Amino acid sequence: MRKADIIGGLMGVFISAFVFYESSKFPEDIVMKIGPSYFPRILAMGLLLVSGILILQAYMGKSKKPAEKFDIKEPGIQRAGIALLSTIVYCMILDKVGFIPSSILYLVFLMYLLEKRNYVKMTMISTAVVVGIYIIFKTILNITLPSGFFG
Amino acid sequence: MRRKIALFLTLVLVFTVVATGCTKPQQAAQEAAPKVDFPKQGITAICPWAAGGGTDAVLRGLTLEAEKILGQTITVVNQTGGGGAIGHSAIMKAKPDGYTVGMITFELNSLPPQGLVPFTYKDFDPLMRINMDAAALTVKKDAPYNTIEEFVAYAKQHPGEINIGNSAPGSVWHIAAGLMAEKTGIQVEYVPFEGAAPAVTALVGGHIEAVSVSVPEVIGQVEAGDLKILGVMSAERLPSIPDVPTFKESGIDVVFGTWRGLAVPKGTPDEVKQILMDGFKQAYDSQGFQDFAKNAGLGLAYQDAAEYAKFLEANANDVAEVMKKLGLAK
Amino acid sequence: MRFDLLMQGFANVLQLNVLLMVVLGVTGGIMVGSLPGLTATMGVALLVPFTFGLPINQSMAMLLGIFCGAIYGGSISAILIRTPGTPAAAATLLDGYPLSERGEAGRALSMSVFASFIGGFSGALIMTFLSPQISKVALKFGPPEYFALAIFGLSIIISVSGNSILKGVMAGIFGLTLSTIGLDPISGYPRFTFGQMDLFEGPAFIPTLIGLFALSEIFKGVETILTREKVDNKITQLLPTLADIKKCWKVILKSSILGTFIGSIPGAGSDIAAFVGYSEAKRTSKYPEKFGTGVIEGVAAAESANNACTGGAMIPLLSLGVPGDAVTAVLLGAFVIQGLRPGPLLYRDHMDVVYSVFAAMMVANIVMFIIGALGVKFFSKVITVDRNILIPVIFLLSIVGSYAMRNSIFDVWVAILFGILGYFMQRYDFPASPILLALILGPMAESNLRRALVISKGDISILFTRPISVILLGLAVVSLISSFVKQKRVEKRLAQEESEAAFK
Repeated sequence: MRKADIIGGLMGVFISAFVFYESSKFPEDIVMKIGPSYFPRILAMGLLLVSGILILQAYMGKSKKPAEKFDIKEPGIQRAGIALLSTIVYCMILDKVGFIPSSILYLVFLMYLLEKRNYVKMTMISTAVVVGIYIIFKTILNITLPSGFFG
Repeated sequence: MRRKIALFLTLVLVFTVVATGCTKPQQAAQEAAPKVDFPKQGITAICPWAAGGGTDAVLRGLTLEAEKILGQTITVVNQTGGGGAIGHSAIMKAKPDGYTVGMITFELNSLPPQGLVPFTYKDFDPLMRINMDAAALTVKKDAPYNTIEEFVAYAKQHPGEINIGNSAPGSVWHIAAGLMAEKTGIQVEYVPFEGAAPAVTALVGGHIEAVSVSVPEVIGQVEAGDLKILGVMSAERLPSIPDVPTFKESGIDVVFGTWRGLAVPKGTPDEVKQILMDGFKQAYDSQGFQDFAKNAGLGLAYQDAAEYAKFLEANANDVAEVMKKLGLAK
Repeated sequence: MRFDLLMQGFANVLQLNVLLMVVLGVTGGIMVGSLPGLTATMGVALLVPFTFGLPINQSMAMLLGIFCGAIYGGSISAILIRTPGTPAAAATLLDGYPLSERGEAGRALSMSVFASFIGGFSGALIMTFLSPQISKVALKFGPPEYFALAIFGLSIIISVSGNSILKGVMAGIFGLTLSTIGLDPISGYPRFTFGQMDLFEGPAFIPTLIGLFALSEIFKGVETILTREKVDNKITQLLPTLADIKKCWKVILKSSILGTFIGSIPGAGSDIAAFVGYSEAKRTSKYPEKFGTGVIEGVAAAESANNACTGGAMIPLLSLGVPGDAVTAVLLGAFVIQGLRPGPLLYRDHMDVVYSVFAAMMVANIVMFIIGALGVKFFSKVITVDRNILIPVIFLLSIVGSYAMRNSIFDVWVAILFGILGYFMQRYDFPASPILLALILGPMAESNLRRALVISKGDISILFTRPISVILLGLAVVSLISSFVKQKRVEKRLAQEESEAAFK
């Protein structure tokens, strides 16, 4: 946990520095001292302070129980990473391929990733779920979903 | 396991049945289209404001009627955000084939001067203007002024003490109040809220002195006796409140308000535009829409495409000029 | 208060065709509410056009049914899959999800439906009897009061911070910073938007919520699917046990009153009410440290508060003509389309309509209770589905839900980004709820402070000279100190247990 706390703290410091830098470009309010940059700056100061304490505590060895190590080689983490990547790919093709075909593919792939191997059942369930969602959103609620080539 | 799947499928089946039951029966096309065969499929109508708001209600009211006339379903899509910027930009970027129409609103002319958006009214082909709602100056019932003149006199004696609420910084009502202050030479404070309703609530609660929003947004509280309208910024008196004078009558030359209309992306074929214009005009004239507009207190102000295009240009110039004077434009 | 009119109102509602509308509305509402990304506001807004042609009794019955159903429905997915179906259910998952992880999903769901009913029904009762009085108080809320209310709400952050106050506060400040992204509410200047139109209103709330809670949890689910043992969730009950009711009734009553009142303040909605109810239950509990690990009172407090809010939000709508929250803003439109204008005039000229609304609200809550209780068994089937089917489906629903809010792919990226963030935060013990609370209350605090200062010409004393704002700020200080002290005690004990465990 110590390393994580230090990294978390450093990220806080970084965000705070970024907010300070960006807000220096905001126009000042002439009438009052409280302009667009007032709130973000107070928050940046707060974040800096809290992050500092967190780093300090970690440095002094006051961090709590060690968390599980984040090991990129671990199969579970790799699986989560692949799920994330496939989600990103899915979102990128969603607009082009259309909701129904891309979603069915996406579901089947995820089920495969989670070690389901009954392909007939996987396809059937995926199709049913996707068509069900499509009907609820598009037909009943009139919310459009990306249509793509195949509608 | 099998039972679970069966359950799942039953669930989907139930939804399907419910869905089919809810689908509106498609009306057959009532008119044979001239020259081009349009529309052959459903039309999308983009609304730059959230479902349930005023603009959304007008568009849905209109498309409900237009569906019957054009013989295709029209799906309203709310692409909201950025104070209308997202929706307007989505209309602009849509394929100019007539299958996407959009509601354009006043913000089309007030966003560009602020230098925040990559479009202007020139990126759209207008179809028709639907309504205009004038700004009005509304104050608390027990305020020490009863006319525009008394209000101006009071404001001159108490410079900077009057807080006028509006719906957002740079919004149409903010500009309206600024315009009024400029023309009368009074000094007031502008207090932006998250929409017109919170501003009106703050006025009823006595936290601010006035609001500069449209009449439909205050009429409920006026009729209830909490608020009074001192004047409207329309060219003529409004039929819904014939006793309230216009600013012009008081010698203050301010005519200002919001408007809404339909447009398609630039470059849509003329024949297609003609079919859409005719279809939506019929929908506009239908009893259903007219009743809806009356109930909603909408200031109907139809203009055809040519007039509307001229109006858009003039309005854009006016708005940009005013915003510059008020320090709202870059 | 006119009992004859109320009876007439019930007679109007208890007709077959109107009742049918209520049932349809409640069922649809529960469905909409339980789907991530579809909120009560959206459900009502999307169905308003379909009610154009219906008489006022039927259309109101249906819309109120959706309203009540959706607020309850949000808790179902919050409890079962850690996905708040609506923002109002975000506080419910804090204890609801741990309960279902422990195999007590049925217990949590039945408590949720019971608490929702009591909350919703109390809200409707309070609205029926005290509307004019409460709306007078609500009008006293100006910018300084809203600022104070937001600060009071933010003081809750500590009590939803989990194991570490420091990390909770850090998450809270981070959330507040996020909430400043977008067009400045007072000057209109774009802050931290990088010229992106999509960021003009900041990161959209629903996708952020879905990312932080739902996506982060299923990333974890994917990671641990093969190593995690299956929990047997046996559903034996439709209603909470007497022992649970006995445990929770005080919490439920308190939350109901709090929720109704918060709902009656225009601009403060059921999401805030749920957190206030939750934090109040935790603050007064004998074992506050257990909150967040699956305490039934947590579910009861959050759900009774957010459902009570429905009745509360109707108060200013009916008696003043100003909506109490986003849903009632849409309902205002539905009234207007029918040619009726809510407000004092409605009370004068259309008492029958007003009392029909009161009656419809009570009936809708009763119907919600029946359908909800009958549904407990059905809903909870969801988690008995194999996880390697369930997880992909939740992924899909999260993406669709983020997209559907504004038809925006950008929002889906927002959800994924917050999903990754949420995953790491959870892993390293940073609580996500403070971010949520900050996103709800941050804009309210900032814009109202600056609005107050515009009105007072920069004189800060406006915050400390008005009774309501002074009381709320005082409460904020009290709640801050008392929860800080309690939390410190908890942290100490946890540390002690840990070191003891280390010795063994």
